[in-house]
Amino acid sequence: MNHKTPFWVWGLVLAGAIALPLFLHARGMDFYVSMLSRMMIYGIAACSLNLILGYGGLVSFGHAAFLGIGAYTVGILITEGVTNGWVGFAIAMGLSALVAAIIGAISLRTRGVYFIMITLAFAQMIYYLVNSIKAYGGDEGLNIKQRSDFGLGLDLKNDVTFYFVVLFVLVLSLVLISRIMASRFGRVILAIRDDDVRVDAIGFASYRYKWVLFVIAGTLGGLAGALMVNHQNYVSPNLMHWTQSGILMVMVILGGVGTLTGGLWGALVLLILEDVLAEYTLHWQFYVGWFLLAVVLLAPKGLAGLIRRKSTRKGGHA
Amino acid sequence: MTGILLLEQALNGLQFGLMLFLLASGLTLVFGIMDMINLAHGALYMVGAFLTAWLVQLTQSFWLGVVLAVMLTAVVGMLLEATLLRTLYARDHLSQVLATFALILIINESVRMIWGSDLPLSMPKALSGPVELLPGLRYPSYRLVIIAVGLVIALLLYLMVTRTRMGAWVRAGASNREMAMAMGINIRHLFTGVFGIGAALCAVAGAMLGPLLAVQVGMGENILILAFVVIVIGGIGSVWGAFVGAILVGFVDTLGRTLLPMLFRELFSPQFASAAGPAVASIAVYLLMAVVLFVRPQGLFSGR
Amino acid sequence: MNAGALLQVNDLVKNFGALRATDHVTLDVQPGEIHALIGPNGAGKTSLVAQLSGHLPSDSGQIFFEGQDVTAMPTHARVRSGLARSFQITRLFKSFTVLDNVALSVQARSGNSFSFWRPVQSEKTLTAQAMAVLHELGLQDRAQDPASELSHGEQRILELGLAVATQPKLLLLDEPMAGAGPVESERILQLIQKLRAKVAILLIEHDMDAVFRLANRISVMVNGALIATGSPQAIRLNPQVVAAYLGEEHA
Repeated sequence: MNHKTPFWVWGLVLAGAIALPLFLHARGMDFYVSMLSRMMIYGIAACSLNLILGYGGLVSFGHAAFLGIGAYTVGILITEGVTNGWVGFAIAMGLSALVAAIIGAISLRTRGVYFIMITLAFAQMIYYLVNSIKAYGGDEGLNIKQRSDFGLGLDLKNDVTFYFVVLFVLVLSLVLISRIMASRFGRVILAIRDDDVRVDAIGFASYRYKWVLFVIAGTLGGLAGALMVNHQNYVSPNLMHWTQSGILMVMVILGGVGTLTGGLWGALVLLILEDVLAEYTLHWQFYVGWFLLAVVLLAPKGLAGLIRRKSTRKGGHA
Repeated sequence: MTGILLLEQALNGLQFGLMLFLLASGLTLVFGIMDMINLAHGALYMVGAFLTAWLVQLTQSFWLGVVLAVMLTAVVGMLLEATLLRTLYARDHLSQVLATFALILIINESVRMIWGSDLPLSMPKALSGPVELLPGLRYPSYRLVIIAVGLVIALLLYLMVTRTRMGAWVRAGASNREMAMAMGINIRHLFTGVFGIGAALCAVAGAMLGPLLAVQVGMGENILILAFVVIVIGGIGSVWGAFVGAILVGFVDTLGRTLLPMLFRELFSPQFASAAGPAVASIAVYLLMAVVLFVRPQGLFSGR
Repeated sequence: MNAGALLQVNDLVKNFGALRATDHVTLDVQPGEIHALIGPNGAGKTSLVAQLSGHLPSDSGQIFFEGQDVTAMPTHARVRSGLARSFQITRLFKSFTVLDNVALSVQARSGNSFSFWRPVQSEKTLTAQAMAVLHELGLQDRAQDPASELSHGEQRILELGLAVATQPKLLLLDEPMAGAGPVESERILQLIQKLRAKVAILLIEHDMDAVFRLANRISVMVNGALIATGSPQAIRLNPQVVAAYLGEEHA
């Protein structure tokens, strides 16, 4: 966990996260519980992107593809009658990992803007490929009749139950990311972000480390996608459009690049902003745009940078 | 029969490629000289199209509308550069992505607020008929005009970049900005000028393609991707690379969409062909880019 | 081919378009020796080092390390074999502390770094070994400071330290004292002296006093080609060398 924020703060946040849906449900406001679930799912997606973007310094413009792969895998499986959540999610994550391995192997041979472009190209390829699969909805998307079944007495149709499942996955993801970044592997990754040529020069094959990180991030993205199709009961190729990748990047940058929970906060802020503004005006994107612009110009380290005090980063742990 | 079809599609490919070139040349110059990723470039294309549609209605003259729209868009572009974009040159690519992404949202919604989600724009009546180029080949005269406009502008750009003083400055700035500054070139004015020209080129493309592709909010995002693919293939900073890349992409995309499904139907079972054909056709351009990057990672004509 | 040479470079050629940066260079470094490489700016010394470290591919020629052909070997593999390099323009991990910079080098040669769960800060051995290196460098008091806050001279020392911490058999030092003040330069010199006999060194340096103090042998490079190799005395007296280089430099 972030060494600057003491444990009791996290405990408080977690307690709040657990109490909130129960409170809302008691008030009959299940709709808001569902909204929160959606925000957390995007939070997981943004945190997965933050792994390669924030910690790895790799500007990947095709991350939404992994969400799409995860979502479509589970969606197609359910449509074909395979509703077991464990199986569905495992295959979704496995497929995401495989695709990430292939895309990473090719893209990571390039640098800078070419890396950005080639990840974008791959994402577009996947977008168009999925778009052309008429059997599963094509450009109209795919509706699923039921949600994943994990047994254990969990009915995912229940908004509160679903919320806790998502919360569980979110906490697990954050713990995982935190441990990874504090490990030997994580230190190499942070060094690569500073100077990958030097990392090679002290004896690490930096390409391999970048590749493994890319696969981990893709897998986590696939997991987010699997949750997303469950939440929406629907998935469309639009989930993989490059503008979606852009939105994920915005969430990461907004929340603070390279911080553990930056992606989560960025997702929350952006989605809350969207929902609130959409109530008042049809042109909410206009205001969101100005907000984002203000953040870039005034808060270069994202919102997390505004709150955080400048201090020595010990252990290379941002 | 197929020969005529091929020729027609080739002309379509050329036409599309030339318009892509207009977009890509501005983009590659901005990227090459100012080292800035500008996602809002497509938005300028859209603004050009909307302004054209609006001014054509006002003036009741297609060409007058186009000329005015192009000039206005250039002004908009230069204002944008002088106020906002200038502050991004020194920032990292990530900040540029975020800021110009925000700009897309703002510009898209602004257009929607002013004109609504789309505006009608039709080609001039005089050009709405076909021309018989060869026996059996009737080609829309409007598209021929687009090709002509594209080629003329390409030639003018070539002359400007290679023969004029400004062009020399641009080339100097593209290869070494500090050196160019040290030699006394007013970098700020140069940048604003380059951006203005880029915006004008976007507007021309938007105006020309408007009658064919429909003038609507969001038209920029789709074509922007292709423009980026073009400059990656051609090599960042190279206008000649943008030209070659754009023609290549125009051909591959247009011909791919007609030929690949046909080819697939010849080679594979009808079910596979009807599913895979269009799919592969739509990704043909990206496959091309991946191949180019694999073989020559810096693009075909990179100056770096 | 010089039998027993730790590093053997044969007929290395590198062109940048029309510019011949490395012109049929043949040289060797013996175990335990300090072999200095001098020459005017732009002579191609850094390009040569980049080829030896694996950062720049050669057009033709061979590089042998401990008798093994490493010409096509990637940089990180060469480092693992014991051939390490420091950079002329400081390349440190600016967001890390001084200690963690060195600890990373130590980590590179100690075990598997595809470890995802155990916090690296809990590895006492790594930290201890890194601190030991810092003591050697004289930077132990700066251990917890971010590397970006070091003075330029201290950064040059750390730069050297990163390469040394990989426990190499041969060090390629590219102007280790570049930009360092007199105090730090002296410290770097002492460090190199201490390494002598334990680690072979190919040293690029402009500081002639340092070169003549340290070197067992000196090679002179002009316009990409080696024009002379020999003991410091021989080089001093070589008329070609004096004409091409020492005359201007010895100001």
